[in-house]
Amino acid sequence: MDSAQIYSSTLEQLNKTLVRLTSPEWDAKVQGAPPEQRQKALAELLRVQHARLVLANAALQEIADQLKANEQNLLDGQKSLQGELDKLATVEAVLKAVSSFVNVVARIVPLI
Amino acid sequence: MEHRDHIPVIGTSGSICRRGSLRPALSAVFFAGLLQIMGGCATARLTQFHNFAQAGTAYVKASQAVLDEAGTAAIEADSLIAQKGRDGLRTVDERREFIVGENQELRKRLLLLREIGRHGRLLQSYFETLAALADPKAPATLGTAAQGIFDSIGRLSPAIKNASLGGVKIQDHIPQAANFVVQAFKVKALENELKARSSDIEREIALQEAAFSVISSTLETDLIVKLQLEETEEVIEPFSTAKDLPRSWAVRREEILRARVAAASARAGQEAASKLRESFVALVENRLSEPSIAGIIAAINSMLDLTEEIKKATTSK
Repeated sequence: MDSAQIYSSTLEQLNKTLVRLTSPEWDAKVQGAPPEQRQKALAELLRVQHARLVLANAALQEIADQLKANEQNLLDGQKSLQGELDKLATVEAVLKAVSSFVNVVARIVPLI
Repeated sequence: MEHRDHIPVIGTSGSICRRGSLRPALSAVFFAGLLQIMGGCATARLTQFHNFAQAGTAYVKASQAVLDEAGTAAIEADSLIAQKGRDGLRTVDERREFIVGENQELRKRLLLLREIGRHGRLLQSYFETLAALADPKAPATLGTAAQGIFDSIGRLSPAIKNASLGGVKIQDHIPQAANFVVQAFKVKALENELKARSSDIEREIALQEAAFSVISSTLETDLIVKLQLEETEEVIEPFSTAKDLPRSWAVRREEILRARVAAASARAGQEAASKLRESFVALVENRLSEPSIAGIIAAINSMLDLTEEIKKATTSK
């Protein structure tokens, strides 16, 4: 994959994740979770939105090298995260996959 | 903002009417023009250029409304996410850092949307100048005016081409250049202008098309996110937990569900720009026809429908 494709697929995954994390289905799931997981779910929602905005505004030529260097981690992260978002089995498993993916994105663009 | 309540009628007089009256006005202008096009007289060519300029003006007004909605949707989605997720940030510093960072990123996006709008308005000025040039009595200075407008467009477009939005670089979405030959026109100033710049102008309309292709995917995500959060807060939560439902509940539910359908049709702007580009080529080749004009009208109406549906869902809370 070239860096433009990695960039687009990463951002597309962040978009899909945001859509899922704001869905009524996810909200119902989180409401039934323990307080600590609820708090973590809110924090991850903010991290995904922030990562999406920062990455969307980033100039591809400035992050091309970091994208290539993290290509495998990004691809693995996308696959694993999408799997969890499709299943929506447990809040904990989804949050773990989200957190892990956003951590890889944070190696490419500086996130708060 | 003007576009949230009114869509200006086509034409250059600057008059304003309610959105609902745009379609009949648009149709009347074009059908009047069509009669002359089919008449094949010398005036017909002049009318073609005037009609195209009016279509360009209508496109720019409608596209400006979509650009406004794209900016609004981005801000509203981000604000709803920030409000919902605020408790996920434990300290004052964390919250401050988050919101300052979001504001900074949103400003960058709004700046790009503004540049795309400016690029569209310059194209509109160019089309109006072209229509004026089609008049045999046009002053000689109009050619210089066209050159000046074109230079301004040329200065603005590299920044748009190199920009990314929603992970997609606008330059990568520019459609292939059309092959066309400028026809001979009786008004030599017009013919010279078209020979000098029509290929470049076709590329600039293609840039609008690419920009709207990219904007539509981002707009779609922002709208879906926003509407999902509103659905949870205003429809599902009250229904599940409130003792009595608010009187407006059913209306609001319908608005949100209908707006979700509109979100999926956010590609109307790209379609309208594409039709405008096709019509420009037809105009230059002196073959602007009824289907070309009908195509622009349909695409512009789709843009208007989209913004109307979105507005309904965002302004009646």
